[in-house]
Amino acid sequence: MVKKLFKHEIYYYSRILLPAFAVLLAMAGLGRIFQFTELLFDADTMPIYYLMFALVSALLAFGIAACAVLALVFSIIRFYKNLFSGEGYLSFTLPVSANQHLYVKLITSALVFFLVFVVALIALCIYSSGDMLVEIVKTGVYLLKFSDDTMGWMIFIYAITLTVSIVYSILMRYLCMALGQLFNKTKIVMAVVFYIAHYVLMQIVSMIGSFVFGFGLVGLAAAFEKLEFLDTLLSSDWFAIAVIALPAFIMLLFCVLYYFIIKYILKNKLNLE
Amino acid sequence: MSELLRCEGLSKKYGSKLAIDNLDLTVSRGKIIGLLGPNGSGKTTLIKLINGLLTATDGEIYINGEKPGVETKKLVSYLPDNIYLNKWMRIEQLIKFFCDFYEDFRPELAYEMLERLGISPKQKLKTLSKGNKEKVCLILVMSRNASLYVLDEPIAGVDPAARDYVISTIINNYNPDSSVLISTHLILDIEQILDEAIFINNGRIVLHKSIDEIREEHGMSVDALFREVFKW
Repeated sequence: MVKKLFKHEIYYYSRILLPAFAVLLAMAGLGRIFQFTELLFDADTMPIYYLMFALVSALLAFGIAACAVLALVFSIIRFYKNLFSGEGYLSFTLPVSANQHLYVKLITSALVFFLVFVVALIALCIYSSGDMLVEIVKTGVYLLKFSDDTMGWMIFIYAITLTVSIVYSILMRYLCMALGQLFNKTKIVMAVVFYIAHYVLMQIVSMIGSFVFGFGLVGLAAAFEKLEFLDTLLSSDWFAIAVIALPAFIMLLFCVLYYFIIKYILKNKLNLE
Repeated sequence: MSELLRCEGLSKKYGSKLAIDNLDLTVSRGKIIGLLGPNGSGKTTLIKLINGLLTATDGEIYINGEKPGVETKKLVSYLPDNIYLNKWMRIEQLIKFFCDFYEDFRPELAYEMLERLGISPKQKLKTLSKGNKEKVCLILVMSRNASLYVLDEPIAGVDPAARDYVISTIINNYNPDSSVLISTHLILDIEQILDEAIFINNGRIVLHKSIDEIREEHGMSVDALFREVFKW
């Protein structure tokens, strides 16, 4: 059943995103072809070429942003419509558990975001005739070869943080929609209210957390007269890794918490009035 | 086990309003049962509770001895009172969708019924008229070889000629070991196919008898009795 759910989920996204990706890649290709027209311009008309070049580049950037927005919007629409609107009558009468619905939607949505990232990278490589890709690979190899041991960890932690933050943001939206559907007449409004409230609350909590962490660290060092140790600590690469890893770890904990709350709501508090 | 569906002390509250009030119900196999009641009596809420689309405030539901879940969804074929299928899908894609998820789905039967109605499987659902959309939904639901068919207002939105088609589709396609629970207030149209009638009002069952019992004991048709029971 899970395979079949994935199949239909992927089909849903592919019918919307594949044409968008095709347009984006075509735009990148046309942009690349346009760059060959540089030879047709002389010194007097070169400003026109630069203007058009800037315009084409801006158009490509807009195309990439549009694909990302499309993925975001359809991830929200898919979850809400498929589970909490009329389509929910079909989804929740399929012989599939709430847990299966949830993780199939979560994984597909996360994969779609990664795909947007990959397609955007390909589009940029086409546009820059592959120079950009070569530079990225060269920089990566250089950093790994000539930097100290912590660089590999740094890249790894960044990759994990990126993955966790994508999953976190998807689950946060799912949670708000799941909570919103508990209200009979104002499901969408309440989902938006929960989203805003959650966002504000998390901003406040993270600000307080940062202050407590920062001042706590300085306070402890001052109390034990170890300010030189604090200096060494702050300049250490491992400390930088820990500072990046800590929010990722906290987000991961929230992901687990959100997942179980959504699963509980889908299983025990479904309200398809 | 001849008992297919059992509800025990079932209640559902929407805020302070009690939509289903301590309801007890047993449905046995091989019956076509009319779930009849005026608007707002709790028919759709009861049906949604049976299908696990709402959670009960109190009480239990057992389908073939099990609480609503993945296993009971394999047994129940549900037709909601609105168009619930993906409107952007072609009918043949919907048939494949049903084939994928329901082991008891009979695609050949669905295609046969579509052909009889002159509806092309290549058409997208959104291009069909409201009546045809409802017929496609019914065809998909009745093409399953389910144990319990739960049909919520299957004839409410279609013309009298189409009602005959819907009723004949129900009779011709349900398995004699299965039961069909039909919610409607168009009693005259379905009375001739019913084995039992359940009258529901304010979330409570006010009558649950076989059609023969109703005619013998009350000396009138189900429709006439309904009009008398729910007279303003």
